[in-house]
Amino acid sequence: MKTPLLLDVKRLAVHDGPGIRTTFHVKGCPLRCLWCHNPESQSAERQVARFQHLCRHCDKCAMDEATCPGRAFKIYGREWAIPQIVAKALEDKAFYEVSGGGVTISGGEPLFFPEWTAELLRALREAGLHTCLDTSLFAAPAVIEAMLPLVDMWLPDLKADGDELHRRCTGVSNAPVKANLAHLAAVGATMEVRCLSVPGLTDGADLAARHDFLHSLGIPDSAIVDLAYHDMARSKYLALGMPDTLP
Amino acid sequence: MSPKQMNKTCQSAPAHLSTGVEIPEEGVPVWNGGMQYTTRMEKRPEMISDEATYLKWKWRMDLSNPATGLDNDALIAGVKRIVVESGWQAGTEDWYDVAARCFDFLVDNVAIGFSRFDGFPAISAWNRYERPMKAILWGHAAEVDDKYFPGLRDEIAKMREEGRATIGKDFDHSAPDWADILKIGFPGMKARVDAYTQDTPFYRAEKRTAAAMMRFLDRLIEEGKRELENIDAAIDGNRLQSTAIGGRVGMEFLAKAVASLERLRVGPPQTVFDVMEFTMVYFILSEPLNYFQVRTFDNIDVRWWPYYQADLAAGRTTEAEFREDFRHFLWQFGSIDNYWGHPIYLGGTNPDGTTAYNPLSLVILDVVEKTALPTPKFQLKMAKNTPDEIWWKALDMLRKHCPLCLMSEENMARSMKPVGLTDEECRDLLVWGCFEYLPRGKGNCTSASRVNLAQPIVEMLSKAAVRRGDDGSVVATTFQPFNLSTFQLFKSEYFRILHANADRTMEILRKAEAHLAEINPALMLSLAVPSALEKGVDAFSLGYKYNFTTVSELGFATAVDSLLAVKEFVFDRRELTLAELGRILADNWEGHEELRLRMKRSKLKWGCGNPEADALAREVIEGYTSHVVGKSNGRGGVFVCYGLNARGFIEGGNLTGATPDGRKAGEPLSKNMAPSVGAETDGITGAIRSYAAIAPENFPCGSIFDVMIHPSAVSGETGLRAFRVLVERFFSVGGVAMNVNVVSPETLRDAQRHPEKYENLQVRVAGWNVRWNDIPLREQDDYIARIETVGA
Repeated sequence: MKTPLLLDVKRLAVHDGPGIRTTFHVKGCPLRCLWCHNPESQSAERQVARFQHLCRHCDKCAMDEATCPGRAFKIYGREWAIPQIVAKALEDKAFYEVSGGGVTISGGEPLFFPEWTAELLRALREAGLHTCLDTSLFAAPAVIEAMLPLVDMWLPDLKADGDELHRRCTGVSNAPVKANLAHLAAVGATMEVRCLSVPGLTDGADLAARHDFLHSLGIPDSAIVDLAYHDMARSKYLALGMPDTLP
Repeated sequence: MSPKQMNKTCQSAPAHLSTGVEIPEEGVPVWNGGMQYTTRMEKRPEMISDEATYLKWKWRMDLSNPATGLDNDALIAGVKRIVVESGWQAGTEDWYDVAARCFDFLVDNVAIGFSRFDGFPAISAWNRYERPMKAILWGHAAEVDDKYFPGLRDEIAKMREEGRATIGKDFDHSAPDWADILKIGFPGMKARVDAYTQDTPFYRAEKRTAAAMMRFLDRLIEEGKRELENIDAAIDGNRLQSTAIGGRVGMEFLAKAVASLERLRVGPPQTVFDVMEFTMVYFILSEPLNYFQVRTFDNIDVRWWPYYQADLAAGRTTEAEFREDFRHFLWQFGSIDNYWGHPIYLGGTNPDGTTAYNPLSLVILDVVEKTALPTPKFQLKMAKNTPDEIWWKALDMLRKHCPLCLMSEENMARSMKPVGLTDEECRDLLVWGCFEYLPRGKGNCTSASRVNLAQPIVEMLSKAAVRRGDDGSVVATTFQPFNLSTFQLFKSEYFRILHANADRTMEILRKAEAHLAEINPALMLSLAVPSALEKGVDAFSLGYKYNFTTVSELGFATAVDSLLAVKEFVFDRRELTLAELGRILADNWEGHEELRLRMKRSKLKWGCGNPEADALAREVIEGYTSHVVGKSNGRGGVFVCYGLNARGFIEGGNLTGATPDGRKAGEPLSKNMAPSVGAETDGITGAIRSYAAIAPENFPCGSIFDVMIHPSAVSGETGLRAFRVLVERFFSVGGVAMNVNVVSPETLRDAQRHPEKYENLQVRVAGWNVRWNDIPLREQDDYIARIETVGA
């Protein structure tokens, strides 16, 4: 079983599904979206980042997140066992119960680690927690099928309508994404589809086409959320030594 | 008499008020702020020619009519003269008589004024930092201390220097029972005291005060009428257009005020505007003139509702007119440069268990939102019966930085039970001050002292760090003075010192408060407290059923985190000895920055839901409060604890050496009952879990929890619902008051760089709001660091 490193745990996540949620971000993603605002989530390996604007240029860099005086040194990716994640999630159970919330697994791309994600979802469900899966849906149909009984709500993206555009912007075809969306719609899965609109790339006609496609699957407007693009992640690309691909 | 004699009244038109001519440079005090907390200086206006300018500056400069009386400097000189010429020093005159003569003098001689832009009076004693009685009271307080307890002030200074406690003397907080005094009005208050026939200094002073109160009303009525004639003449003489703002409309507003004052002269308030006018006049008499802050105007939606309903039914007012009147009322206090803000609360529960919120509550909230002032601040009693409309409106206003504080009615009641209140007294608790509460009409609480919960740790490690040689010189050593071989022993020693500090503080307070009435008799308040009149004693110091004294906490989270750091680094991991840590702290971490950062960033901190940290936090808070709460204060009451230190966390930090939690000497301590900055690493939900662990009901009279929320977490309808869940969860774990700031670090950083773009950006301190631009850089940094920890 391929086990991901965990990137972040976000409490009070109120826009990652219904109610108050805890979102666990896994590290590793098969897509390379030009606009990715979490570049640290792309590689599945542990990464270190140095934020130059915070660096105090000590005589000797300790390369230690705990003691870096300017908090310029940061490590992305920690090992978490599934029971640990469930225990962490349960700490906020009282908040989920009164708000109709729960746990969201996000990325990176959780379906990049299908067996692990299924096991985690199962454990969360056994703990009585509502589950959301935030995913690009770039996965084999069998993976989606395996997740169906374990996911209470899907939060898929549809990043571009045209396949060529999708390939150019994300590095992969959107054919499996569309097929999986159609399957989810067909089986009546609860979902909220996010459509990011990147000016000059995926706005205007492409956004309209995505809406049309979703409508053709019977997905109502109430289950479609348009998201605005921002470019606030530039410092992270620099800190990680990654080429800045942000539009 | 001053240069501005009373007999000049009406000889010349006070044109500066009514026609908007230039304010003379000479004689207009510059807003120097006294002990104000602001770093900003605003240019005073050259001209008062519109309502907005008038209302904004009303309590920041003298807008009274100089022909009607004395300016503030002359008032100060006057009361000083009365004291010097009195027989108090010689023992031939009781201080009550002296204080009442001072009050008489101030009431009869303070310059007053009305404006066509306002329905409420102005006075020349406008500067809250230089209220006339201040000039004598602080010196007099020292004289009283020296008279009864020579050396007491030295003891207080020593406690402060050693960082053990900051001990002050509170003789200017009051919370009248508005329900009682609105029923009887000013004449009723006078009649009530006049019915007592005893000839004691107390009764003499109170009768004199009541008579002065009525004379003040006469003066206001006379001046209001004169100003009406003045405006009329200005319109007739074409110096003022009748259609101009404040023209005929201003006359109508002023005429309404005069008619209201005339009604108040002969009976209790009849209309909702009368209630506002009554509140304002009582405030002037008590706070600027009697030097007794009026720390609540009551739950005005409940108190004012019958008047408002009757006015609407009789066609005396409309909702629109009420909104306009109330907007002016709010501006009276919005324009006062009062760091603490002026408190008003809303809501409650009726005896039958139903909500006390009513349609006026929403109108009031809406006006507060639209007026967008940092003060008055509004506390809202929240309960299971609170209507949804109130919840959504209040939460939405909090997202917009409106000055609201949500309080759990149920937990307020629960926290007061241990100090003996009845169920009925708990049902109708009067909220006052920052967010504190008392039994309505039956309780008072002095509040000026704070025990430093972090100091014992500094002291212990300081002792561990040094040994004195035979010649008295300090010798650095690994000497362990207490044989503190386990963390349990370290903790025991901590509590021993903490309890000794608390005992010493309480002992000092018993002395300091033994003669409060001899310092500043609560002349106006005593008229409003029947039990004080019955007993014939000063209301503030002795006159209530419950006379509480507060000993607040200082540096709670700093103390807990420091204990945890000692446990983790000295006893568990054995990275260094107590002596080594003591020396490092004595050197303020010099040369040990790496260790400091590791100790500062340790995950073992209170505020992130860590069970071990939470358990210790509870032990500390219970160890402190159980030692203090319920002990006799020598005034027929008991000591209680507030979980509040307001801006004391900065002052306390200046007095406290470096602490093992990674804090350097002089840096701020933790604030109120919030985790230390940087400790909320598990977000707000983790912080609330930690807060639940300390059992907030340990604080009778109130405690407050600071929460920073990123705007993205509470944006939109989804966010608003989540916001409510957070607050309700906070209440369900025993939380009493939540001090919420919804703001992003990006916004705050930008506001630091470009203050001009954020003129009205407000943040909450401890139950009240301040403008961002008015707080010092250090405190601004504290807010930014906190929201950065909580994250988006």
